[in-house]
Amino acid sequence: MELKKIILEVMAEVADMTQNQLVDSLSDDTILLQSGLDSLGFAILVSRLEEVLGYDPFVLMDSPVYPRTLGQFVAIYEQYA
Amino acid sequence: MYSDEPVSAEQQQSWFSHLQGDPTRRYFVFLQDGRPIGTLYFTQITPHSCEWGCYIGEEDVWPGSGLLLELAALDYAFDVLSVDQLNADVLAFNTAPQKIHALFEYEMVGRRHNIVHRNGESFDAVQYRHTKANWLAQRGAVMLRLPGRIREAAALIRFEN
Repeated sequence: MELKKIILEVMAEVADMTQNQLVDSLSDDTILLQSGLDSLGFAILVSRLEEVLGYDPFVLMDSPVYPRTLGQFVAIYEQYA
Repeated sequence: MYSDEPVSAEQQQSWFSHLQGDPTRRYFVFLQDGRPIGTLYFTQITPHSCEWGCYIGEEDVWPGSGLLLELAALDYAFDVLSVDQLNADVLAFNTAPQKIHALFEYEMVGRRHNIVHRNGESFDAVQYRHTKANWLAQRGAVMLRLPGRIREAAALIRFEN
């Protein structure tokens, strides 16, 4: 399955779990902090993605890079796939 | 505290100079990998209690940074300031921090009505409280609810004057 689709599915799952409401118009340009997931939601998202994908890119990267948008978030996962 | 009015450079400098040596307030810049991304602050500090607040001013931050601030506030208030009670006010429409307060086992103790007026609307603030005894009793269980990466990052939190 396409990595972006997996990430979006896990995002939706985490949003349900944490009682967050994702915005309707999620796109590559969506600012992560405005996506509807809160701080706990993002922490759980990264944790769940590590379970699903088998890696956490934020641990693997040599120097810290933090995504601002959903597109950047997906790109980081694609880079370390 | 809840004003969204523009602040002039002179007002900011005055605020900062009054902050120096004020024993009732402590402000920290939140550095993440050496980069300033937000603020954690304590106000109304007495030997018994204080209030805290925070904000993250950048959009590209480590996922879960708000949880680290929440944890840092509780540990600093009870370990360093040694107060018995930590208070937090949250605007009622701001639901994200309220959910995190609930996760961290804060007690909701009241509501202040119509304390903020914006664009012709009035908003309430919800009042939360944590006591030292409760936090020490619940810290372990709360930590277990957090993702592993947050627990690992929490071990790296440190305060510098």
